[in-house]
Amino acid sequence: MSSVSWDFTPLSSEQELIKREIGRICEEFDAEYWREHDKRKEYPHEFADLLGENGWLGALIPEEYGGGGMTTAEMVVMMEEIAAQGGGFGATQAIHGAIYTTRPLVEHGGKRVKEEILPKLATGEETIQSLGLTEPNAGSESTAIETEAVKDGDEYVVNGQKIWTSRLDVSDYLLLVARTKPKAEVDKKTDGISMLLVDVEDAKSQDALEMKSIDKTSTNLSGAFEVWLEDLRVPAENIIGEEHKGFYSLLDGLNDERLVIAAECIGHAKLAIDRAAEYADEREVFDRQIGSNQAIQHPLAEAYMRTLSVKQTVYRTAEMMDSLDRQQVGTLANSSNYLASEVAFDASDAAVQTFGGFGIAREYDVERLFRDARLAKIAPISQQLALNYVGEKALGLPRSF
Amino acid sequence: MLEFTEEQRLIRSEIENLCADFEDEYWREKDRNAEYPMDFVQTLGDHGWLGTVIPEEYGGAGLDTLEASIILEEIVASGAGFNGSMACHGAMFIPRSLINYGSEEMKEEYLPKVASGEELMQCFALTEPNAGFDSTAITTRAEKEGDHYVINGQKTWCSRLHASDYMVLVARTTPKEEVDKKTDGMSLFLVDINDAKAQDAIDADEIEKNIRAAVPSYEVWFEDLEVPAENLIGEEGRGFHQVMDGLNEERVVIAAEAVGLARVAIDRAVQYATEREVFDRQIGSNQAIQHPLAEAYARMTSARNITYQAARAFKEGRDVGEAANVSAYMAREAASEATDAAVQTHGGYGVATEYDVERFYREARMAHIAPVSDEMILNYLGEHVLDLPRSY
Repeated sequence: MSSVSWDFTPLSSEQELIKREIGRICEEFDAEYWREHDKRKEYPHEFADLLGENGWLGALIPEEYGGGGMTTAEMVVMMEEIAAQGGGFGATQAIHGAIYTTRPLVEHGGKRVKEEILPKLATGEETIQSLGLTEPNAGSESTAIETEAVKDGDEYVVNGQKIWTSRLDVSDYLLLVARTKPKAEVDKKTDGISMLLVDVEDAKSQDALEMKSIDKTSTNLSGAFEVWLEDLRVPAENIIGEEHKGFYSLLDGLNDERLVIAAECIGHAKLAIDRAAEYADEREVFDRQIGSNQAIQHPLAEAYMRTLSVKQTVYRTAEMMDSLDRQQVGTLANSSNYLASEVAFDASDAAVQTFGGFGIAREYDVERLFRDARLAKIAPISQQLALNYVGEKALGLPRSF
Repeated sequence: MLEFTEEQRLIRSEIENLCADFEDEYWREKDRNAEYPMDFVQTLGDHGWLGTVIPEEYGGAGLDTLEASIILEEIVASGAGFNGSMACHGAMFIPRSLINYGSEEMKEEYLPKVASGEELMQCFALTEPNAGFDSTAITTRAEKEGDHYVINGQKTWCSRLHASDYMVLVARTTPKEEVDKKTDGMSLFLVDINDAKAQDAIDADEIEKNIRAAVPSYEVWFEDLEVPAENLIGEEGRGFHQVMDGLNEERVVIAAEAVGLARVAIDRAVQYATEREVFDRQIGSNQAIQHPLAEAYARMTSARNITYQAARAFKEGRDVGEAANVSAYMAREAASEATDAAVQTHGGYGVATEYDVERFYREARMAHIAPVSDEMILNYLGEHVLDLPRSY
């Protein structure tokens, strides 16, 4: 039985504690749990509920509102561990939104939002799993969104269409990004955008929200939807942050979030490597363990090195975040995201290859890891956009897009 | 990102200043003419940097792998490339054998002179024509006769022999057939090169090569070379273990040098991509040019982080076998990718010596082979970290 050592990166005592606690929760969900949910395209409610009950979905909510008040240095451990313990990137993405969509509420929410809603999100009693940003004609170019929110007395009236809105079926709230001023009327295209907190049940009862699931084959644990909003009325006090300045609020936490996504990819890569090393050790062909072939062993060793290497950057950056300027963090986060999604994919690919024909049999899970890893190179940020950032901000080259 | 101390930052800027006196044309010439950059090495020696890791009590700076890595990265990044760092890293690290295993008399006699650069101990003779990565296969013999050893055999890839006063030689004091473990029976000797020449017991041929030409390597023959018994470094028969001890440090340092190579390649390429206009716009505004450079930057940054993490772990006395190997692998990959992208960015000029990137590109290729090949690193990781069966 192969046992891969993963302990070069030293953890602080808080980080050790988080790793242990999360490990304990993950133990309750075996490989079959993830396999079956993926197969049936079912949201892992039991897992999310258990995390919620234990306060982990409120990790970013300050303690005064009942949350965990955790830092990025702690979040990377939590998310890496969830992925590494068997769920992979699919599992972290299933609960990533519930954690990270609370952030704009914490940073920019009004008194009522903070006092009434945050405590419920902190205990998992309610969840905010969905961000309504992307539209059919506005993908990576977020400022091109056309969904509009027009003020009408003490309400906004929202009309438009969203797409790739994840987990809307399991979310109590939707954080909706809409134009309060059309692009044509603003000086800077990043102006005129606002964030609104939408109560999903209320929207449904107004008959103002319609959704349709997108059929897909990657990260099946999280459903993604096309959403149509028609004359949806949202109380004006549900605005998150300043009117017309929502885009900037949205960008605020993006760098830290990218580091955490990189950590998810690292956990995913670890899982793939662990599974492959175990199989390479057990499986015998031509009278010897297949792992004694360099053609099998070296791709796994290479994936291991890439994983360990990018992990150093992610953990150091998370730890030093406060002493770095925004651009430094941006460069490190984007670089890490690029490299981590790459290794999540490479490791999953090497794992499939190690398993031979069984690599595509559902039973061995690596085919799921391979399918899920493919998405990590596209979402939440594409590798090309990460390179654009580094090229422009770190190398000082002309903007290329 | 890398949190260097005030002292470390100072070292860095001092090296930068020293290197500024040796311009691109200097290195181009040295590389073209396969000439050892002795004046550069002497300058480093004059400022005490060759004694970086030698303890203060023997006249050294008393610093560590971490500082040495900073120095060598900076030398490479100045445009000197591997010709610069490898002209002097031997002088900085080969005395390590004496520091760790030498007798007190040896340390007192030799270390102060090599710390000041007055004499150079920068040739290491291990590899043989039939013993490359499989070091225990060496057959060069050292036989004890009274108060000295008599050495016979052949070595190859001995770098900087001509520019060295001393060589550290690895020889078998017991033949492989006669030891229980093949790693036993090897010993380290300090050889005074001038004395060996005076005995007419050493002969050398330079190996012609196209990479890092300014730091020549030699085939060396020993015939009845007599070395005083007190020149045995450490314990007889334990030479292999003593050599292994230094390998992790070497890998960290080489990683730092490769990071320096990636840096200088990216810097040059970015500068060119910004200046050069084709189709009425800067070529750097093309993603096909910009993205490979951004990718190389990401890899360089990541490799740099783990390299200095490994250097720090080394300083703290933690086990760094894994991190040292990973650093070396990732850094050389970053160097290759960066230098290749730099050549491509320069178009036809990428192969013109005037733009230097072709020199860096050639050097990056070597990093995948020496001092340890990519394959040997993968073997190490596969066996010791992934816990898979030994594959070689």
